[in-house]
Amino acid sequence: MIDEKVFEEKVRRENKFKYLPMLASLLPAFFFIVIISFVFFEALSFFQQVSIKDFLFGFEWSALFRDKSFGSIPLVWSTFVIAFIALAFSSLLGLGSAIYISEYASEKSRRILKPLIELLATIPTVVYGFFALQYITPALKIFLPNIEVYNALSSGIAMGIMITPIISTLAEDALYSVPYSLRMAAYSLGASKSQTIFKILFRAALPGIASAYILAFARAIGETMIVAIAAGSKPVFTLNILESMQTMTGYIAQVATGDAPFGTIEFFSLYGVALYLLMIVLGVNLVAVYISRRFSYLVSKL
Amino acid sequence: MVNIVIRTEYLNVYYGNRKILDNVNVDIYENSISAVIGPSGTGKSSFLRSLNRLNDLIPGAKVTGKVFYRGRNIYEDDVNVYLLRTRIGMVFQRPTIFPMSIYENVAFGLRINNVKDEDLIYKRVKEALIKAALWDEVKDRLDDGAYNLSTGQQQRLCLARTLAIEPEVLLLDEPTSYLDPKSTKKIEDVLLKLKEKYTIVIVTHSLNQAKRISDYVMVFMPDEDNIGRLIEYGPSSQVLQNPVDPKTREYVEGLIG
Amino acid sequence: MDKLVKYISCGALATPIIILGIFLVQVFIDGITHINLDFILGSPSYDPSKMGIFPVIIGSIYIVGISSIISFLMGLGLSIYLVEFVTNERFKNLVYFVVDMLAGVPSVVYGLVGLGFIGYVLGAGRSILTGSITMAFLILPLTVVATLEAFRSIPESLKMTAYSLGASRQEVVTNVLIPLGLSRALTGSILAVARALGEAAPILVISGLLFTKKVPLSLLDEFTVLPLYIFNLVTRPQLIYKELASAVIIVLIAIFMLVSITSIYFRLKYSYRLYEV
Repeated sequence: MIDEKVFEEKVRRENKFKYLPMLASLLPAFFFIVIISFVFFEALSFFQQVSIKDFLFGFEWSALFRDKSFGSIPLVWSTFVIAFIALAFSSLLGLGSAIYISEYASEKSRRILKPLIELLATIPTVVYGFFALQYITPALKIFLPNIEVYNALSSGIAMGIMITPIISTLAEDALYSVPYSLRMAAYSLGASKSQTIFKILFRAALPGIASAYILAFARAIGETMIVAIAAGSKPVFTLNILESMQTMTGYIAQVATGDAPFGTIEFFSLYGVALYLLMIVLGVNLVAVYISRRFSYLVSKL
Repeated sequence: MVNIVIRTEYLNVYYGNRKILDNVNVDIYENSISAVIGPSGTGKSSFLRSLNRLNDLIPGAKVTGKVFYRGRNIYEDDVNVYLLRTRIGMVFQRPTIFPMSIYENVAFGLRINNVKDEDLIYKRVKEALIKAALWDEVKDRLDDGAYNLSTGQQQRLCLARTLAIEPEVLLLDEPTSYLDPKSTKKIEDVLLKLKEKYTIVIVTHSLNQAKRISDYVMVFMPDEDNIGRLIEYGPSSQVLQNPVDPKTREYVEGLIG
Repeated sequence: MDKLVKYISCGALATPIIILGIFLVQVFIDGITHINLDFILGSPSYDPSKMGIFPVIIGSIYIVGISSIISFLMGLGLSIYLVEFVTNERFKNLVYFVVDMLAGVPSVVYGLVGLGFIGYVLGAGRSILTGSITMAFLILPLTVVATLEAFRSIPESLKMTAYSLGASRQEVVTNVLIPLGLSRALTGSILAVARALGEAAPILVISGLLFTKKVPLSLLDEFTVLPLYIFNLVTRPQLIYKELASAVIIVLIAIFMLVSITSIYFRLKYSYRLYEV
């Protein structure tokens, strides 16, 4: 009834079949290598003309003017300032949301709230930039009349809202995965819910929560559109968050929309900044991965 | 002279570094029901899986020794394992129905083996369901989802699915563990009838089941290192009533396991 | 004390939701008056009263459509390989690690690499092709998560059953994994589609265009996408542009809802109930 040849066919197909899926799993690695090498090689052309020391430690970035200077500190500084503002907002909002969803919400509310938060994460970043420029800045101007049209604070706040879902979902996962036995033990010793949360659950979920913060921070550093729209294009080195600043990503966006012909130093500066940015972001990501791996065994031992 | 369908020689099974089964030498006779009994964790399921090379699919599993099916060692390189598995079929402990209609579940094995003739498929499905004593209960609703069946019916469906590709040997791994006594009896009756055409090996936790339906019994016991060993096998009447090995006696009399 | 924590954390949850809710309502109010057939089918113009976004919509559809398909297929292949073919845990973890790293690369860097490597080195230019391929890799981590989760959820017992009936690995993939996992993989990929729809930075670098009257027809044509056009409108001070930007945002959201509803429809139509004893 079943043709003998069918089985020979199966063996033949089996040997050939696995190559396509295998290829698919090698493609990400391939493209990752392409990303790193390509940025690196283009950046090399930049660093042939600009010394690495001047780049890393210089305080003056005037790449698009006649007298060019390529000190990256203003860009890097602005990037971190805005990212920190974002983290400050999102750390509280995100953690609070995570606590509520994980510990206080009913199963029914949870099923609505979780997707709702995830929906927030799908809002395009241009929309956040629009929000920052047209809504946050005017609102802030009421309390802070000195605020410039393009400023770091509005961008930071908008970015904070944007990365809140990242912290919220990851922290909630971390809290939710703390074994129920731990909560039981705390309650049976007479602890109240808030005591349990702060003294026990936080400790147990700490690696997950910490890596959530770090990953959100990395995302904030790499974000482009919000700062391109609302933060400005003045590379300065200042603590005044009411001023306009330009981040690394903002610079890249500015040059990309302008005319930087292939082969000019402006063109290569894009890749110099990109390489620096890439290394920072990947480094921060690695820290997050390390923390969550190195310390999560503490939870699994329980 | 009764034919030997399967013979194992020095069969050992390892999962990674752990040895599960040691040195199993056994003959399985044509048109008989062989029961495999013993406490949990003694490698009975692993033994079964070695007979149709399903162990190949478990990461880290290693089999040494020889298993002869109709005179040929199935672990040789040039053996077509897909063909082998259609000749030696398996039914698992929990019913593993596909989320499809009753008809399509039974037809599944035929379709993946490239049978295209719809009339032929219908014929085989009907025969299989009849043999599994399920036809009368489902003949009016072949297109219904298989998940609407009771557990007992689902298990008979799994049996029908295996029967549809017309194997020679049926391996059953505790098929009635999750069934109520009535469904269990139905399956046992089916097996007794199937024995006329098929060779059956059934792992069972129930000594009574072994008494009821088996012709031969294999007894697996853990040794001091917790490795499973075949300590006794022979005709059921002998092994169950007059066991040779003292451990078998203890098990059969309900003192251990 | 407990109550306090509960209310504060609830407040933390509600704050972004309410803020954005109010914002989106305002956007809707501002933009809805500009949405009409002329807007959707017309061409961008320097005169704000005659604004249309048809070429931009087409550009977005091209990019989102092509990149989603490519990325989904890559994710599919990768997940099938890892779930069914690979037993080495270390290799699997390595792949997950690489995908995590890919997820961390800033979107604007994707644009730079896409433009430089695919656009210039490989010669595809500042075209839809370049944009789509780049975007496909950008959203790959999301499609991988969706497809992996879909295939991992298929019970081992069903696969074992198929093997015991004589199926080869390829047959188990085509007859068990894909039929049972596909709908879940597709619905999970909605996040990836949303991302492709909303990402502006990489397209900014690759296409360089914030404005075009030309409707892209072939894969090698230049183009722009809706989020970039929003960027264009947002940087202009006049009120009318704020309203037009709001209108484009509404269109963007509408397209996204259309895609979600379609995917939910397909999920309900083809979902299998996995009945386990």
